[in-house]
Amino acid sequence: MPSKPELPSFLLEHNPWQADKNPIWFASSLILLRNLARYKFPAKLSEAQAKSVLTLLEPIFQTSPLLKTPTFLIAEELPPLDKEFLFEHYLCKESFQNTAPGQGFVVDASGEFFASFNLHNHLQLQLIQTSSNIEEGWARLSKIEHEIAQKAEFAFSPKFGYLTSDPTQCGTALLATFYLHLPALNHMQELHATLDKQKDEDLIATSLEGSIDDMVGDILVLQNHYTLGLSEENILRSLQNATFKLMAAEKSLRTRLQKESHAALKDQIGRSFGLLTTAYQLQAKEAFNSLSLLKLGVDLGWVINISAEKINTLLFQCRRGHLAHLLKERVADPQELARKRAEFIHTQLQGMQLKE
Amino acid sequence: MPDRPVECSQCKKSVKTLYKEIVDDSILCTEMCADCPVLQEKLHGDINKTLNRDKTSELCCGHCGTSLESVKMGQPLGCLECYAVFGDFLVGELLESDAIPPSLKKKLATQRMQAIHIGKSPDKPADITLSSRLTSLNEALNEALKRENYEQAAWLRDQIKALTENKNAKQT
Repeated sequence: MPSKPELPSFLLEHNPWQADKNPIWFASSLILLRNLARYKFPAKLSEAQAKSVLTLLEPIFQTSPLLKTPTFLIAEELPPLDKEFLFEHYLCKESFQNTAPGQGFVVDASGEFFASFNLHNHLQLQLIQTSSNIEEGWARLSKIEHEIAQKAEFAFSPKFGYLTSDPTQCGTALLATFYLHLPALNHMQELHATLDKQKDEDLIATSLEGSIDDMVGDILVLQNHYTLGLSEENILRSLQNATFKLMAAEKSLRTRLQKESHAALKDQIGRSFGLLTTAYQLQAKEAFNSLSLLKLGVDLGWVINISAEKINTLLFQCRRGHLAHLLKERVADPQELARKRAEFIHTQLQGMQLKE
Repeated sequence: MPDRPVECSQCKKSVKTLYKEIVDDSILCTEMCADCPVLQEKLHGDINKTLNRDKTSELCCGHCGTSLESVKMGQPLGCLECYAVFGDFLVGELLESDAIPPSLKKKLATQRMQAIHIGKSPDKPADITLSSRLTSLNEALNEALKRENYEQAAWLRDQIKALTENKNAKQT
């Protein structure tokens, strides 16, 4: 059965992820939450009011010179797998499966900008980046925010700053998250010690699944702890400071491991290689963890004939929403999906070799 | 992949107690935070029924009807007026739930501050010149040198060099 309406084709081109070749820096996401002063917050909004919030906000995005081909999507009309695709592509923390009337999204051709309407707040503006140039990303996001502020009044109080439906997010209402790929620190059991050394109370370090004791794909997620009582500049600066220190620690450890030609790590990378190229079925988490080690192998020169970009892309493509779009079919059976995932990864990794 | 850690089923705080109740052949599982009203109810019976009989006198937002009770339960606020109506309670709650930086906590305890928010406002728009990546890299470099970690320092120095060269190239 054909699904209606479809995601814009530019999203399926997979920008900006397909050009991401950074070995350690994975991505960043900046989110600004805003509510309109004249309307009740979404939790207390009637369907008609929610729709009028949409009618007010949508044209501002559609005509914005700051966005490339802005495209509006109505949440209720999107098939579940398309919502999952958006959730995966924009590194969202909450799924969009339970949507209500009056909710919607705006995406643009850069693949980096994402706005959602009437979820917890009237407006959530998000920018994802693969470059570590946070100044540029912040400038872009705040320009877009400023443009909207000219046309719609935001709920703001001098005491609590920008008002959000969750009081623990008011103030700057800025949720900044940096994703770092730290397989060397994680597999050499040095991650905890490195994090302890630079304890910063303004930041929270987690894995993609929550605790750093349960790392997925060796990706460390750093986010700001406080939205209130700190300026945007301070929030981003402490994240940046911590990030560069962690990157330096990971990089110097990688150099050491490469020099030593570390046997245990080589073994782990070799096993991941075997798993990804020969497994009959692959679960997403399993694929994620193995791809992470493979990416480290590429950086250390132990795995050849494959690029870091390819592996970064595969980290997205092995997830359910992306896979369904690539296969152009909906696979409901988990076993069958694991099989299809394994098959897909085999074809993508063809030609890749372990260096003797 | 699961999208977030386990949270209290009533609010968003992290889980302290996992309550499992076996009724016939089904298992009922409830996640509760440390000060979960559901936990209190399981331990001491329904407090609302015994204590809060005079619900009419309860604090409510006149604009959207959100009650203080629901805010205490971690329900979302309903409108911008809520921040004025529940202002004092919210400050207390934010302090308790560690949502305000420690440096500000002391100030808030000793003097009643008018504004807790620092940062941009609608009439003071986006013109933030972020301290560049160079500052952060330099800070990391100094720290690495202090710790005599020359491997890390060397990498950081390379990054700084690449960034400055890039900037100079753009300027010329």
